[in-house]
Amino acid sequence: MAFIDLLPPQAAAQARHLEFFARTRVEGYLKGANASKLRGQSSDFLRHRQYQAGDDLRHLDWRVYARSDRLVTREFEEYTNLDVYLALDFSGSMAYPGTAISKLAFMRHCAALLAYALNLQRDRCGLVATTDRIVHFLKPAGGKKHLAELFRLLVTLEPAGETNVGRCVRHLLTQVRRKGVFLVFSDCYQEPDELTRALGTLRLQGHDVVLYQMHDRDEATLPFNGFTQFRDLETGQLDAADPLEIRAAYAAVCQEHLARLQAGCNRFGIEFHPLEAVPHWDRVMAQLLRERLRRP
Amino acid sequence: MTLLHPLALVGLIAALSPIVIYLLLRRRKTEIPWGASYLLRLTLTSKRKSSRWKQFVVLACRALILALVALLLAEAFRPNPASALLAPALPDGPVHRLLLYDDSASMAAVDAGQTSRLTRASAALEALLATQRAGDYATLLSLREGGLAPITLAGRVDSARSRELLDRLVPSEGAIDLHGPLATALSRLASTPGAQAELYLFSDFPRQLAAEVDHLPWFAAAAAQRGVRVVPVNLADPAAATAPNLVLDELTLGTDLVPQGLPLTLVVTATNHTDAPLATSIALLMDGQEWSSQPVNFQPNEQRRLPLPIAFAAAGPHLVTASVPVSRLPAYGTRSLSVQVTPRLQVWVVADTSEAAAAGGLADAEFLRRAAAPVGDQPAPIELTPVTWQEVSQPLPPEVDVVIVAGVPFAAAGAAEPLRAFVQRGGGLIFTLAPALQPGGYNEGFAALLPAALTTPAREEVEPATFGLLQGGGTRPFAPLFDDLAEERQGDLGDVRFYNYFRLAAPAPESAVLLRLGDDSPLLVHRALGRGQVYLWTSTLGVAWNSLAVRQSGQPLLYRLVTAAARGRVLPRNLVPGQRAVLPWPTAGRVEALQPDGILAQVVETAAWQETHVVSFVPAPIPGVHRLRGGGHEEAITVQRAPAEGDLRTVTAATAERLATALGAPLYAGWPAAVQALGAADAQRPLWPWLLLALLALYLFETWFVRQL
Repeated sequence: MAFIDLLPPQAAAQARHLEFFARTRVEGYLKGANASKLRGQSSDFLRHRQYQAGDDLRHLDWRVYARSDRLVTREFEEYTNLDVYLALDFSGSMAYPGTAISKLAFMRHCAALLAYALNLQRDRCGLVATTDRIVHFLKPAGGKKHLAELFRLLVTLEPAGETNVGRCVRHLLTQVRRKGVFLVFSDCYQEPDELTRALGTLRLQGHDVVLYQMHDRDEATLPFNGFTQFRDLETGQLDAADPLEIRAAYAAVCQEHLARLQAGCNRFGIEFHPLEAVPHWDRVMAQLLRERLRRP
Repeated sequence: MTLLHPLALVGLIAALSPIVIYLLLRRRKTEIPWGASYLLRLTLTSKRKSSRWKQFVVLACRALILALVALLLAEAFRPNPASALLAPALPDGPVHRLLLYDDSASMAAVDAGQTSRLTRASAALEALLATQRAGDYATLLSLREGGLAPITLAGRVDSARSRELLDRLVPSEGAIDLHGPLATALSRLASTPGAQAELYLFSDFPRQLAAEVDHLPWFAAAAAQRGVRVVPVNLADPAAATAPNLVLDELTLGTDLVPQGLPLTLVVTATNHTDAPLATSIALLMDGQEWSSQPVNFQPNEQRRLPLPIAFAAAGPHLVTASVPVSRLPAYGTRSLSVQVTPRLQVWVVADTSEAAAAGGLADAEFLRRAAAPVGDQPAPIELTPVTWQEVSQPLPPEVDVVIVAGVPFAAAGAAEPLRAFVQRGGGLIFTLAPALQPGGYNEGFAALLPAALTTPAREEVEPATFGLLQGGGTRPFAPLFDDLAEERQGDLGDVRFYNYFRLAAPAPESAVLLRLGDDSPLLVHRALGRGQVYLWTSTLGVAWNSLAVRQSGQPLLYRLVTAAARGRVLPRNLVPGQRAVLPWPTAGRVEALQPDGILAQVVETAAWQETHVVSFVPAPIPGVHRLRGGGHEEAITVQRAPAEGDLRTVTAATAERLATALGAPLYAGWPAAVQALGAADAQRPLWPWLLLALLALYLFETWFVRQL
């Protein structure tokens, strides 16, 4: 895939109108549009607190002191830029060609769109390529050069290996210090509870986590006929089955899998979006981001 | 029902072809790279766990479908139910069936276009036993005297058991009886008072059963009182009454020992057991080689004694067989006779050589000498040796076969005991009388030998115009040896004039008058004594009292008489059933006895007796030739028995009516007619509609069930 194919101009133009904000308090380097965990210099009053030695006297609330003879300091919201980690699943299963577009291509496009949009917001965007381990970790940064590097990785990284997002997340915890946003793109073909528990750990660390579960339509409907040997793209293992015979049961398993993912995400406050890999990925992502903005 | 039909196998393969195609397609799986193998494995695992019992249901359904397809195919080749199980419908409650069958020899007859009568009876019995239910009883009884003992079967009878029982039914010699078996059958019902009773009677109802009808007035009432349903089934074809059936009742020569070269007459008694005239031929075989063939014509139901000329050229044992080609039972169309041929018979003649004896002509001894004189270079079959009373008063040498006391006037009392011992050992003794004979001495001296005491001559003087002829001009019931002499072509015994003869007192109990004159006076009287024979000729051998000596039949009669008298000199070779066979054997060792039915029945050891090896055994009571082999020697003996059931015709319509009245039920013409009249059991309905319905239902269920998995 070429750079130009990764983010076509129409999509790039659409990205200029997209906004992405963290839904938790984050820790950024620069001023930005996201509420920071720190108390800052903005005009948004946050709260009063007991004066402590060393506090800036400019923030001392003299009116309260006059009325109650107590020294309290006013605190204000801090707005900072955002560290966004694009955790992308590059396991073998993502290479399923699909009917119109592969999950991998869909993920690349979406990730590129988000990275581009975040870069325009002056937010910092990093990339974590995962399989059953972290294949590549690009620290969040801003600027065109970083964006170019990120795009290069998106284009060059190829899927291989098995899916184990949970394991990768545990590794991430040791490397990520600042509170940020994790946008996890994966087909989530692993134990849902394990996955959501791992993501929940991130969430408990104070990160904002969004899980995009991607799947192909074939993977949801099993539209094949006749006896079929299913070769696992991750392990190469062959599984023989009559799709006609197992279709209904397979659909039920899919539903249950999604339901468990949804339940796990709900438990930990993780935003969960099942996504079908479709060619109009830009519209899908724009719709998602707008909905995110509309939600309280 | 059977699956052994080859087309059924082809059909089964055709039915299996979809399965084969399915399995072949299953091998040709499409390979798809798949990302969601995690979910797929979860699905497969859950399906394996949750639907294992469902898989078993599907497997069972499919196996059942295959089985039904196979049954459906087999159904097409199943024999017609109507012929497969031809049996009448069973009553609702338990039933005791009395199955009376006729396994006499006549049941071996094969009527036109059918199997044998007994085979058809067996098929009917098999069908009846096959329909027997739990709680039912069946009792098999033979109508034949000496048949199998009654067998009672309770409950279901499997086909192997029924076949094993019915295989034991083979046609055997023996008269059949209705009275006894019917009484036995009814008595068997006492053990099953609660069961309904059915009595099936399978027989060809031969004509000799007509006399049995009078003995059955009790049966119909007794059966009705017990509530027995009687089903008499006549297995004979009434149309077979005119089928040619000539039965050889008897084959006899009158002696088992004949002299070599002597022209003899074999007498065949044959009966035409048909209602139509019969023209055929009787073939005679000697030692397996064709001897002669004689055309014969019979009137309907005629029995005739047919003389067949025969002579034995070589000394030694011979086997003579008569056969007719039109006997419906092959065993009844062939009869054999074993004959021992001796080079010459040694005859001692005690004659009156006095001049007085020759007064008026030649003495009796001279007639004898001339009769036994050789003709040309042909030696006479008997060799005469003149002896005196003195020589006869000594123990007679073993080579002497016959002693003729030819008109000796005075009896020598000292000769009585040696002659008695001689006769006891099988020798022949012939007394001929003479005008000068003193009957008192004979009666006193030879009382133990004479068949009857002598009284006086019939006439004082011989008048040429006064004579008597043999009674009826024939020789019956003369010994077969003399049969042909009465035939016009063969001789003129009936024309012999008897001018005088001795009257006899009451004959001894063991004596038999073989020949009588016209006034019923005995002419030839026979007495068996030990193994030997004594003949008393009440007239003269010469021309003094009769014209026999100058008739053509004179010499043959003399030869036959001597031969008949000498028959005790050989051990019996033609036996009645149960009679012991004793034969001298040239070697020691083991001797095999091969029965007429081809079974090697006995192996006997020879015994030594007075430097002679002897075979002694009782042959099986099977009529026909029993061949003895051993030590390089072979001989044949026969067991003679008159056919028990030569007449294979069934009873006439009138007798059938009487029989039906006596039995209280009509005689059904064959088993199918009986079943049709009684109502056939419908145990074997056509199954294919049910099989097809079940197959369709199972197929639909399987399809639905698989969709539900």
